Amino acid sequence: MRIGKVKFLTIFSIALLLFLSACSGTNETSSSSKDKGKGNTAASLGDTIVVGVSNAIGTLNPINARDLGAMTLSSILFDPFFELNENMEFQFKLAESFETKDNQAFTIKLNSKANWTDGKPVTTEDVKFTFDTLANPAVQSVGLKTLNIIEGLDDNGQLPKGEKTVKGIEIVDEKTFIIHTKKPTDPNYIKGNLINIRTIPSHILKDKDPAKLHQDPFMLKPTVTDGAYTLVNFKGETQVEYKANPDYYRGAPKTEKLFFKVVPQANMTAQLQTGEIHLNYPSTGAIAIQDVEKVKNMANVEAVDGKGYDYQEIYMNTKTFTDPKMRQAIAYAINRPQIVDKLLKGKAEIIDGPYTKLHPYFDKDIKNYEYDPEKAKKLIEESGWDKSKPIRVNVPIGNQVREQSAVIIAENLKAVGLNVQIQKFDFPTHMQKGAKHDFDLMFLGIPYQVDPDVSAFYGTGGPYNFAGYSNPELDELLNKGKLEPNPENRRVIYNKVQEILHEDVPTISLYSDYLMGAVSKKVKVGLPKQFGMFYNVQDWVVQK
Amino acid sequence: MVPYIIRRLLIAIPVLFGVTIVNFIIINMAPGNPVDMYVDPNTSQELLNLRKEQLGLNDPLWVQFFHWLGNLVQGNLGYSFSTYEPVSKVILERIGPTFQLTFLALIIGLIIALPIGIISAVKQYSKLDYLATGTSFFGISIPHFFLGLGLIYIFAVQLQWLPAGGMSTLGSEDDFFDKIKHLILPVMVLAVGIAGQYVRYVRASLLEVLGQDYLRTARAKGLKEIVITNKHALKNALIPIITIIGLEIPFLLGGAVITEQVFQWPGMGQLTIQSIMSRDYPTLMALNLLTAFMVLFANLFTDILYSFVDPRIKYK
Repeated sequence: MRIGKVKFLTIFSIALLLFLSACSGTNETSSSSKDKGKGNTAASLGDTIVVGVSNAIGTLNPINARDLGAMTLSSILFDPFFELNENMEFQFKLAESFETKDNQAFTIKLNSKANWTDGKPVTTEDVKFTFDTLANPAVQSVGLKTLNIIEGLDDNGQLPKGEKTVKGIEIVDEKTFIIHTKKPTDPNYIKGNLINIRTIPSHILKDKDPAKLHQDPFMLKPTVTDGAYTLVNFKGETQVEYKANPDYYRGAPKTEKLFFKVVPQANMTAQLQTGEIHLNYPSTGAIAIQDVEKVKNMANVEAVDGKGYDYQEIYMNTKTFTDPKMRQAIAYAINRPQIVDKLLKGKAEIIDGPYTKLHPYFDKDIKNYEYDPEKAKKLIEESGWDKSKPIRVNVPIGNQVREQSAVIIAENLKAVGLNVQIQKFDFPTHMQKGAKHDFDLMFLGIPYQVDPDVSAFYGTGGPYNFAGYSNPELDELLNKGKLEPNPENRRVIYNKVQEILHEDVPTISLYSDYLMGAVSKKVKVGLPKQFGMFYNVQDWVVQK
Repeated sequence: MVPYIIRRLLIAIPVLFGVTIVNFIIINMAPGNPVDMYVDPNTSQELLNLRKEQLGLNDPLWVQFFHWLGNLVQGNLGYSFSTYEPVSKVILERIGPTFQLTFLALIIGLIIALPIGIISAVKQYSKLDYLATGTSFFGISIPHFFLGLGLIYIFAVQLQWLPAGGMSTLGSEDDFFDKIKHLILPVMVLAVGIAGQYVRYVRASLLEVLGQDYLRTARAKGLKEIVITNKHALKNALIPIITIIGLEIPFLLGGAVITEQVFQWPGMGQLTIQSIMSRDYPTLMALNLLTAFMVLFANLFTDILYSFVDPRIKYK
């Protein structure tokens, strides 16, 4: 009997070995057949495209998607009115036209062919229901936030007590509606804030309990949608599977299946090479800078350069650094060219303020702070800063380049005689310390803001004003800017805003890094882009 | 026996209660909260406050605790703060993958460890013994992340025999062999550590038994050495091993945090890390409760099992 056991073990291990070799065998054959297909026919098209992302996707809930990945993936199911392209221009999606005569009543026509997957048309009833739901304080949603300029909403973008519907949304007919604002407003402000409004089907959701809507099965796994693809399977931490919507009003998708695969950044390049991923979504799954050379050398993959949209910045606590001279000194002391050249291999640009060079409101006349340690030392002397005083530098973990840049910056600051201490925190802790102004210098990445309004960052008490900066003159300008309907007048205001910020430096931007993309050469239509990547997802084609 | 089990179960209730209180306090003491994760530049403080209110985060801590406890008694573990799915569903989805991974690793680890441990004990101080103990030392001390990345480099990147991570290839979720292929590397990493440990346990335990008088008697009777070791010695030597396996079960279910991270295995360990990072209180509480429960249960289970294997032990 004992001997029988030993025999079993031997057989088992041999079987395991055989099995292992069998696995490798199948792999080889499948990859070689792929190669053949590539050489012979251009017409044989694949039925699956796989997009790589690096962050887990929270929830596809169209009114409560919070992380960037979730918003983008939700917008494939539920078409927004507009989408931005890579040049920051608005393209129509669910909307067909957008008009205004007085900058206070904005007429929007829905695409006449737009329909839900259950066959019902997408109507202005759905739009109104969407706004009412988003503005309902009982519903857990991201809210309307900066669309609080719409008639009938309070400052938080919510319905006042007792109100059931948003007064400023007027239905004209089944496909036309009007947005009324409290005061004349720049049309681009409206458009920019509409890109994250996804219309939801009122005929499915109108009888649900608003307080429980976020837990509703529909919101966890939407079944009736109006986008190019429908949801098959959602596993936010590993993969999301979509299927083509054959009745899509902007044309049936050419590729049957669309996958989003969550892959750590370190594995992204390897999986592009092996063909497990066709292309990446740079916004939440950029190619690591150190891998860019590798991607460029791959025979079957093409590298796609990114552009500077998002940026990294340092908040300077204005309670610690009360003297603007001291804040300027820090700006002069940081060796940003070195960070961009060495750490980011030149794939970034240096900016000082809240707008990158691509932003329509970027003021070209403002000169960046140069790296000038001598000047920094002089300014520190003038401001009378006590050099022995420790400066706490808060850095969130998770972005390797940012963590490395923090080390360089700490060295730069030490070089001008300052006493710096880096403290690293996980993100929730980091944000809480920011909100309590419990830091001296704070690193943070800022996503691209379509509208030039920066009151959240610099207005007194703004939610992202971690520096605790308060300047009545700037507050007034920011208010004026938000209410000014004429784009040219707005430019004058925001140029002034940039001047003040440049002088006062409550924050100093470090760099705007280009998020790098890569795409398999088998993909004939479809490109990695930070903005507008999925606008033409229905036209994407991949070779077998 | 039965009264003993009932007594143990009753004692478990206050213990679990104490564990949940401590957990609740520690989790809530950690800086940051789930709503801080919502913050985007345009969300006002009032809106955030409203969300906190809706999630019940503005209530005093003890109110929150008893609210949670009340739900628990009714069998409701609450809803995840990050995905809004019922926590029970989230955990059920993860327990399967973790179970597959860790139990397979335990079984394979034991299959490797038992024969090696026996040989090494029987042939004590031989070259074979030194080889076995030396290798097991390597198995115990090599960090999982290092071994994992090494295996990925060799088998996934260089040889391209096996996938680098995940549980299945896209589109072939139901393919059995595909799943096995994905299991091989992570199971290997875990099994190496387990085998290393158990070789030493088996060896030590068997050595102790081999020196005992009743085995000398067996030898005097003229029994063959192989019968003596396998039939008379091994049975008794395995008793302490059962305890160790029993105590290991809760940790196996808790998920192999590092291995799961390295191989993107969607199991309990990965869920724990994600819940901590997003301050998903209900999920964290449920995970802690589950672990505490498993520890108590496994202890009880081993004690009972003991009385069957070792007739000297009786519970009253």
